[in-house]
Amino acid sequence: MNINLRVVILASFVVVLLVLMILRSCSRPPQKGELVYKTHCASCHGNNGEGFRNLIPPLTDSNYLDSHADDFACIVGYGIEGEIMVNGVIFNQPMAGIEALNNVEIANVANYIYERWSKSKKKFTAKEIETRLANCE
Amino acid sequence: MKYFYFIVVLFISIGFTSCIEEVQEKEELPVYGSKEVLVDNENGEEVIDNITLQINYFEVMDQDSQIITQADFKDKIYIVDFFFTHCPTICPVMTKNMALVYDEFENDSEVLFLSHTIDIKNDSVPQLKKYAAKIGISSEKWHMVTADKLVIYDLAAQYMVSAAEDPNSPGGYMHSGAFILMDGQHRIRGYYDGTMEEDVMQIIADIRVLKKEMNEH
Repeated sequence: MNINLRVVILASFVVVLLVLMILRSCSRPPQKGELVYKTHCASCHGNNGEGFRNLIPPLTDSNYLDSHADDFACIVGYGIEGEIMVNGVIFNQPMAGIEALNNVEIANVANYIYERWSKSKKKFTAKEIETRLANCE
Repeated sequence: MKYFYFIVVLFISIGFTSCIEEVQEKEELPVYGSKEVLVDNENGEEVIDNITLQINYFEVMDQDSQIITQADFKDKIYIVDFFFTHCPTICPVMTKNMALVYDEFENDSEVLFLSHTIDIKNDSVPQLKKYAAKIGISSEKWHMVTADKLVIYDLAAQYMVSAAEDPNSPGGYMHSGAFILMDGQHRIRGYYDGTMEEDVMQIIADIRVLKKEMNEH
């Protein structure tokens, strides 16, 4: 067998394998915020922020997101309870704060959520989250 | 030859990167608690001990103030769990996952659902009704029930899942997130993690296995 043919065969092997690997792996490596979202938020709020019937509010209401951007850190860090109006529906299901998350992770997940569903596309910094968390009610 | 090993390693790594959760098609489901166990008696001989797990007769009250008894579940397949309505952590996702199973069998009168509150103080009948309304379920099919505290906690113990008041837990209660699959003779046929969506697919597959078993007999 001549060298060129071997190179071609090997190269095509590698290409096929790479394509297979890409197809079989779950998806592109998640951004940090997406990873936090999938780990801590998605089981209730859904992979696409759709929420669940009248039990769990969706995260896709840009009005709610944009009018509560200042509360985001406190809601994620310390939880929320009582009635809230999201997408025109009243929700009243307590959510516990996610104690496991640090400022950087909250900032990352905030950026992920606001990038996907807000109109403002607000960007959060870890410093800002830290300040908010220190002043929760 | 070097390339050959390289390719072998590549193939193996492809095997490991696969992340598709497969639902197992089971032929038969186990009956929990009825296995024959070999134990040593006081003479050091091995004897067969038969531990039969049974859920005792119970009476509870559902979101429509109906008295629900074990007899209502005779010859039905039913899924049992323990929760409370103001639970801020795992219950909403358990409810969501249970609802996925409910949707799958919505028009199948052989399949029922039984959720017990472990917070008797707050989860009155109207509170349970309000919670059920948020999910839009029928009280004929999915009973959200309350009873005397001792009755509920004794039931949890019989199903072998944890449920306890715990001031240190979010919401004030600590409990298992398990779904328990029961057959028409009130035998436990499966345990699932009610917080995992993958387990929903398994429970749906297992209910179909149980249905086949029921209709064969």
